[in-house]
Amino acid sequence: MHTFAQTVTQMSTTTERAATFLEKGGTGKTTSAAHLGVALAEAGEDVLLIDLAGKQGDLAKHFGVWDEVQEQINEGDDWPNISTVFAEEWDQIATKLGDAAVESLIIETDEGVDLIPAHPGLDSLDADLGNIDDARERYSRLEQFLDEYIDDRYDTVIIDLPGLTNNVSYNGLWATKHVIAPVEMGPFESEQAAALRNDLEKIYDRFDVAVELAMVLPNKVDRRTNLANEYLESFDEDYADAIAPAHVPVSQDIRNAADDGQTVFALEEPSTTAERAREAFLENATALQRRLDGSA
Amino acid sequence: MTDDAELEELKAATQRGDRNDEVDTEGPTTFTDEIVDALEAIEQGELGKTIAVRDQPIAALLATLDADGNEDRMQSVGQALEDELGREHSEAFDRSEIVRLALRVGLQAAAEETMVDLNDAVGEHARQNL
Repeated sequence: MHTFAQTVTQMSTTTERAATFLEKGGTGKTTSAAHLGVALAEAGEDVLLIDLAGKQGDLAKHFGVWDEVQEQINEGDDWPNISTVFAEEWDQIATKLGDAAVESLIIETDEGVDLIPAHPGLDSLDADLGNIDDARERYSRLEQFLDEYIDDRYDTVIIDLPGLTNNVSYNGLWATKHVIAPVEMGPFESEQAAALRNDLEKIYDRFDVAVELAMVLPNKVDRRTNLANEYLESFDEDYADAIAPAHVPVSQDIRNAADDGQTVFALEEPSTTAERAREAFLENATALQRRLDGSA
Repeated sequence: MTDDAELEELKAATQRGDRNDEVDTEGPTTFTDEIVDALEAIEQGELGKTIAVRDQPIAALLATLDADGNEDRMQSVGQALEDELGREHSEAFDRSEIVRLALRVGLQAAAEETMVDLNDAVGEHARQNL
């Protein structure tokens, strides 16, 4: 049995994990992962972001490091990479390479967070995972990697998942047990959020693995429209236990910053909406942290 | 076996490319070979990699989509095209990306075999340059 002091110590050294996921594209999963990560880093957390969302490398582009990743790929200096950690042979590789195995996966960004970028190998990974007969083994490869090689290095790990349900996204859900679902104020997102909640229940029924909807994050909200306000109220009611405390306003500055390879936290002269977006992400990051460590 | 050799073996077993690298190994068609040659010529700077077309209505449409205030329309067009290609949704689009996607959707719908040849050629070209 653990004493209270032991329990507190264990909690403070635990790496918290969450994944941005919704089975719909364009709702702001990557932007949310990037901004929540930077917001947590601003609060003093050691943060690692992992991009499983696809070979296009949007998270690396968001931090202006995609050219570096492309250069490694072009020069054949891209092994091991994120797709390698799903391989059966990963433990052997990590043993042979030592610390360099994990360190070579990670890129430092200018905004205080570390990143494991996407790789073209993610493209064919899903089909290969599908060949693993045992479902638990198929879905737990990433969890094993995080358990053994990433925990204790970081306070928080946020994973950006593909906008569809496949073997890779299931690995992300399995490994994090916590979902952040960015939603726009529209009917499709409302349906997809409901479908996500159903899926999480099914995972629990079938595998006894509890994946919690940690945060429903209203994104790109334009409060000048009645429809947006109605959807916002409806999300507030339907997801009272998971709704984020602050919604992220629609802001061209977020897109412009992403195009320039940075988050709004890096803007030197942020506009009013960019300031509001920053405040929203900071408030949401604090709430997320509490929900992940169970202190909320 | 030395450590290095073992590591090389592990690398060979676990290094994965994208779908284009994993296409079937049937012999490429002559047309595919010609595209591979053209890709190589572009790489060497012997052929240009940009395309330009004169088309007033499409130019007007693209300029309008790209105008401030029409971001949602641009995004819905772009994502509809991505849907047709079975691709993940992007969040932001520019004129070039819309044209690139629209060309692929059109070719896919009207000349599927030619697109298969193109994809094979891209895969083959990537393999040759590993």
